[in-house]
Amino acid sequence: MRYPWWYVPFLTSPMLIAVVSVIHVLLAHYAVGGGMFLAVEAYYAYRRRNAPYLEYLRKHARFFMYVTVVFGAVTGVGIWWTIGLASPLATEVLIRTFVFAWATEWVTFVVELVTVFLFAYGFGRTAPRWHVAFAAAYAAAAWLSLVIITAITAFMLNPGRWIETPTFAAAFFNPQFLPQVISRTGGALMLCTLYVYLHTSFTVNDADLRDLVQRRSTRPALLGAVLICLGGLWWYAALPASSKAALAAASVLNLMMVGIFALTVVVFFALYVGPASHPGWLTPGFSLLLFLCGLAAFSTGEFIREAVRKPYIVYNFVTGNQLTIHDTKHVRREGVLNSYRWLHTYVRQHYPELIDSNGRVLYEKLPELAVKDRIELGRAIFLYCCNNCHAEARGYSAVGYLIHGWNRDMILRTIHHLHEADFFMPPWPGNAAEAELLADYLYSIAPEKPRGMLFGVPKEEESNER
Amino acid sequence: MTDLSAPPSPIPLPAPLGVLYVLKTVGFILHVIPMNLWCAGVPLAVALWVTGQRSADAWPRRFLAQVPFFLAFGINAGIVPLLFTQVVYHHVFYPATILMAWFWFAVIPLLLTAYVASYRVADEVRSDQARPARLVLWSVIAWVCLWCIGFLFANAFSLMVRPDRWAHLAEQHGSSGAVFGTALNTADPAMWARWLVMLALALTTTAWHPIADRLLRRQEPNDRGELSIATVTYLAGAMFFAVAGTWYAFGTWPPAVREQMLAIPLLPLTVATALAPAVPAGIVLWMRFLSGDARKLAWVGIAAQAAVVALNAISRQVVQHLELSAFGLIRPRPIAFELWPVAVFLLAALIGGSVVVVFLRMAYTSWSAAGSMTAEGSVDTAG
Ligand code: HEC
Repeated sequence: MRYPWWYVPFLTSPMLIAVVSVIHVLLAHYAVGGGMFLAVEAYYAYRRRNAPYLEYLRKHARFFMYVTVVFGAVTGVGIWWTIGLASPLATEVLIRTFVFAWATEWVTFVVELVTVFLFAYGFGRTAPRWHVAFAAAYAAAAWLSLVIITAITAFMLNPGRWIETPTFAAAFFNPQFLPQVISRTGGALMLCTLYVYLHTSFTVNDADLRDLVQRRSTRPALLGAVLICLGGLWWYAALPASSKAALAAASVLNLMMVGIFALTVVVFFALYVGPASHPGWLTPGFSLLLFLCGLAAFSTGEFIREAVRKPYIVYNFVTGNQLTIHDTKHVRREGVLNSYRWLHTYVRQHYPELIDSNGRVLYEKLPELAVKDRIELGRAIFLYCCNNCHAEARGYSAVGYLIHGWNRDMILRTIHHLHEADFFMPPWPGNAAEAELLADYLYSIAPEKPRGMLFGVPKEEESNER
Repeated sequence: MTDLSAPPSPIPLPAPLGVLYVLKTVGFILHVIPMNLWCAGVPLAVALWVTGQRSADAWPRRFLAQVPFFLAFGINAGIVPLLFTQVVYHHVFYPATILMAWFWFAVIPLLLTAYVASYRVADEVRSDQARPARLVLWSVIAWVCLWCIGFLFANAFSLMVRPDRWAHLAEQHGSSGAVFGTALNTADPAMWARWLVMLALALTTTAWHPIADRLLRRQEPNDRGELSIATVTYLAGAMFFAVAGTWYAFGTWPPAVREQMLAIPLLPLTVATALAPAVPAGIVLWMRFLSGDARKLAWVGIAAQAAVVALNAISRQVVQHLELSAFGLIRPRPIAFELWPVAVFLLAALIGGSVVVVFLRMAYTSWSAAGSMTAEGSVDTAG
């Protein structure tokens, strides 16, 4: 770990990334799909000279502008904020690799901002041709921004050729790029329709207008569902083997994966038998239900996307404990306490007796430390090496739950064989002396086996030494 | 002191340092202008509104109605310098912000609150019956949030160039070697000086808003009321700038930095940055005594203020570079420059920029016929 570690009790700091990203994704896909919706529908309404529909679009554009410009944009900045704090090395790698992609994306943001304002405030005082052009330019810019950012998130899951030939083209056009662009475009279409339904069912009283909105926006959602499934299948095919194995191994992920497809299919059929062919289905209850299904599918999708990357943040390059694969070799040789600058400073300040005249840690002195100090140093190692994915005794994927009733030996063995114990984990980055410290700490927080469990074997044969 | 900055990045620099500095500084200039407007403009406009300048055409109402746009574009432009900061200074930027992680993270909710509040204010001033209590309440909320954000930025960017303070802060705000993210750089006078300099600069930029607003509405900028606001605000801002700037340069710059900033070849830059606000000040005073058409002069004044902002941004970049150099933290790094991503970016900027210009011109001409920029449009299918 090249940076200081931000300790967030219970939740762990990387989980903040998940929270902010899920919120942002639900807004950002609407920002893309909504742009297409407004452009196409404004064109339609002007062609048909449908004043009530235009008036509806005006209201929707206001709502859209507020949601995307305020909440969409700021939560987007929020993701950037959180990844820098909780995952600085991966952020550094992504930013340096993709800086001009991001700069180009910024240009699309500028166009989006100007055009969304022009469109939303332009009703009634702009020639229809121009007004539709504003929306079309917005839609194009928003979709391009989706394409660019998708290249970056797809890169993390499978950087493909880039590992051997680190060029921009290899990074951008990675194996996950197209599948994710397809499924995200589908997601944008589908989510937008769900937002439109929700907005319409709560704000439009006129039945004819409601039916019109319903008819017009069902087809994009159906197309969206198809794209999500196609992109999703291709996504799966282009996953690295470890991610496929992760999906297969973790029953939760497995369930979620099935859940997404099931939800998409449910939404598809609900739309198909409902609004597509039956006017009058668009009640607030129905649209709210669909909306919640959509949110659930989306949030799960994002969660899976994050989860199947383990043990990497950037596949085959940055591991989940914030080392590059090249760092790992070096760190294992030098020791964590020697090579993590912030940990080293901590040891120097608190245990100067452990530092030799060259400023290196005297590992042979560690066994002489008091138990309390060994546990303390073990905790420091835990925070820098494991807290990326595990809370302490309690909390998100807390290690306490995982080592319920384990004895010190089992703990120590697992530390040494971390990536073999579970391939979601990177290898243990420290040396043998550090593993002992970590084992002391983990043993100190390991909860006892629940009492009252009988197996019919003599007590002394049970391995729990407590 | 051990070096707590991050070791060299595994990824080479994507372009020569100088190019990245230029992009960072240009982005910062684009960001500072709207940021200045919201920082100083919101409290100023509310204060004037409270003291009675409430007509629909008066500056406070017009300004407050525009704040959401400034926020949108200011935040948007802020992406650029922050992107390039992370490219060139990742090794100091992340440690500094991680030390103050919760505060840094708080920028997001603060920004959302300020944003929502500014829309509330804008809706309020646009309606015929503005409710004073609400207007003041939301304005004060926006104002406090925006100043807090400025304060947090001043903290992050001053802490970034003081790696010698990090170990102590980590010790105070951490346990077992990890940090809680609750540190601030308040013990560093440079932080306070930076923040004040920025607020002073904000006043000078805001002073030009009433004039620019009239120009954009094709009105004679020599209106007494608005020119008075501009003059008083500018002169107050410039004096404040002189005091805060003097403290900043002579009280808080590390000796090595001061020495270089006051020696050739950097001395002219330092002097120009310090004295630049005198030019727009002179122009705004001149406008008061001009009896004829003041439009041209007003545009010159606005350009001069843009130059003041630009000089500040350039000096800021130079000082930042020197501050980090003083700690040996600007090191030569391998560069892997690929032309085509840059070309794509420039092409996108060209196309995007042209689209924006064409659209804005189109809207400007057709909307000024139909009503003001911020008024509600009604639906009309004709045309
Ligand atoms: C990249 C993320 C990541 C890191 C870093 C990580 N783990 Fe894990 N670990 C996991 C995941 C995921 C599991 C599976 C959890 C589950 O099944 O609920 C796991 C499981 C475990 C288990 C249970 C293994 C078993 O066989 O039942 C232990 C013990 C454990 N981790 C300890 C650690 C320790 C100690 C460290 C630090 C040296 C560490 N982990 C670092 C992700 C990580």
